[in-house]
Amino acid sequence: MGFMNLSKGITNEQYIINNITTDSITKTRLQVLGILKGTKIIILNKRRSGVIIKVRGTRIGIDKKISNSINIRREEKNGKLEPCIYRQS
Amino acid sequence: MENLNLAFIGNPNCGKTTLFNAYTGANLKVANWPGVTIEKKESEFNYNNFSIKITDLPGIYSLNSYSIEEQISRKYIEEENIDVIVDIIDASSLERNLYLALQLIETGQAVVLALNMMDVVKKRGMKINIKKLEDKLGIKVVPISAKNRSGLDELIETVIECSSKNKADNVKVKIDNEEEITKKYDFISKIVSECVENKKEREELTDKIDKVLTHNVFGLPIFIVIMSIVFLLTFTLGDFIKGYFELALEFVSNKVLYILQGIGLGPAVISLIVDGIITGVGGILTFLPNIFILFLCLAFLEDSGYMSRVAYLMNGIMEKLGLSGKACIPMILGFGCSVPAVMSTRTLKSDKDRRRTMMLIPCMSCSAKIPIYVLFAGLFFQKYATLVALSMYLIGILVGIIVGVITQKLDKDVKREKLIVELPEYKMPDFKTIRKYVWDKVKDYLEKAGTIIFLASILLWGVLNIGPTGFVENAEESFGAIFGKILVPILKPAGLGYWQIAVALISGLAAKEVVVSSINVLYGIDITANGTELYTILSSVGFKPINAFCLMIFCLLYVPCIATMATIKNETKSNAFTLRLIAFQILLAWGITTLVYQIFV
Repeated sequence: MGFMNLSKGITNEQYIINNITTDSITKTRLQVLGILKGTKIIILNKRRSGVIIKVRGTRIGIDKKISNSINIRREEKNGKLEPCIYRQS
Repeated sequence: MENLNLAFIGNPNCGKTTLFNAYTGANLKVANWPGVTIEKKESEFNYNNFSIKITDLPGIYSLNSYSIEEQISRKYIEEENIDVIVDIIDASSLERNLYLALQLIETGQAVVLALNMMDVVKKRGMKINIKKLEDKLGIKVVPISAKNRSGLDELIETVIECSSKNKADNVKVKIDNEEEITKKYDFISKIVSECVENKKEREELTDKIDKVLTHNVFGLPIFIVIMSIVFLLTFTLGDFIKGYFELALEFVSNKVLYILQGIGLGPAVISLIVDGIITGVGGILTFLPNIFILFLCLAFLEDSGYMSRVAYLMNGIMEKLGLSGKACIPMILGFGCSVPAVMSTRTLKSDKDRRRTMMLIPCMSCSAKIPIYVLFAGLFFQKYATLVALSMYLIGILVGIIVGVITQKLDKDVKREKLIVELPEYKMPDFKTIRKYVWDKVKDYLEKAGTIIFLASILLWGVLNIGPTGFVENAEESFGAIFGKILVPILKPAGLGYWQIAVALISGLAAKEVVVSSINVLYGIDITANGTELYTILSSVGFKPINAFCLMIFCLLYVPCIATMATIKNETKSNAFTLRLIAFQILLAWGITTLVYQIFV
């Protein structure tokens, strides 16, 4: 359940990357930054033109078009959503 | 004495430049990498019995040869005779930084990790088990803080120790595919979970600042306010200090005149030195405070980590111009100087994006145009001077946007490079880095005053004092006047139909500041007379505030200086593009200035 595009995610929530479907160069650019299938991310900011995610301890700003090609899902453990420390702030 | 050849490598924003500067100080050799205009910095220093040479490789995330920077680094590692590679790692984002480290270790070359920003890590309460990290990676790891200059000697000691050991004969960089990248990152995750204690995902100061600076509603207005403050400081504070520079210049000018007359030199020589050189070069030097403040602010914005936020914030607007948010950074640098701005378009991967950005850079009013605004706005708009000067920046940006939108409409298959940008931790700018950045620019400006402007002043003096009849007393009979008068009919509709202005504009091709020194020389202004003399002379020939305004707009938009054009030619390797750009800029300047003049006169 809960598959969606990165651009549809909610700010301050944690997700897992499911799949990246974009051209191979862009894909490689993302991959070397550690943005890979199965990677945990937190959405820090969303604008009409893009998103900022926190991935592996660093912040990356990504264009809207690319974020549309990144498929994410909510992380669940025992049927419960993983708590995210960013949520309460 | 033993020679040791080191290569510094690391991710962008890992503190590599700070470390490099910490080791090398002033002893620096800057050149370009072969075939490209990316700076190659080298430096040598002695440590105990070793003569150590450091080459600073460009900041990169991987060796997969996706960008020019990566290609350069890869080629250097494979082909040069390096003793040890020093990989500088930002300990506060260890995971991402270790990917490049693994690629480097894989080459078989001797690698030492410099674990930088240990001060930040400590402050966060994180602990990194260095010993364990060394065991897992199989290489030496040295904790350092480039900013606090700690661990520098230990790093060199370790490097020397490693240099005597394993040296690979056949170094080959392996290019990773998706599977291999995933494998490496899985391995890294494992290492990090074992070696790093207390690694909590918590909201850090940077996140708090970002909540404000990248705010969905206030982010852009804050950026505009910041830039306005930068320009306001440049003009108001700069002009205040400039007053003292003018006093000093007046003193020097009078002294020189007195001495020259004392020696008994002929009037032609005295005229050349006092009216030509001192007026031309000296007049430019008085603008140093404005330039200094502007570059200080730009250095601050760059070093603090704010610039990449601007790229993110402006991505939406730049998209409308068919560019990525990253293209915004060269344009902001363009407010300082077009030459480094054009070079910084290298961060854009597509040639098309680069050319379109280069087209827009000249619309961002560069610091060399400040003297023109300060002089003419000051003379003709008195108390509104700052406002008028600032309006030039707005007009430039507006024209840039219009040009961008139109060219994007004309170009059917615009393939915009999409933004992926790292937003580094905010940090207090490093004093040494800022000092170096600003000093480099100030030095450039002084060099320009001493060379191009010096020569242009002499040349101009010659053109204005020599005519078909030889040395002429009246500039009206000089070659300069004859040539300038040819252009008068063309410039008349734009409100600039004066041969002196025509000559000044042409001389401005050498450097934009020359327009001001030319006008001083052309109208025989004693620069120490506070400018009112120029106002009186110009007013008497019907040159009104609207003409001054048109002159500023023309200077804002017309062909950038020779240095910029040469850089554009170098970067694009295209004469046709450069020539088209020149023709376009002239037409643009003439068209808009004429439009403004015809509407308001």
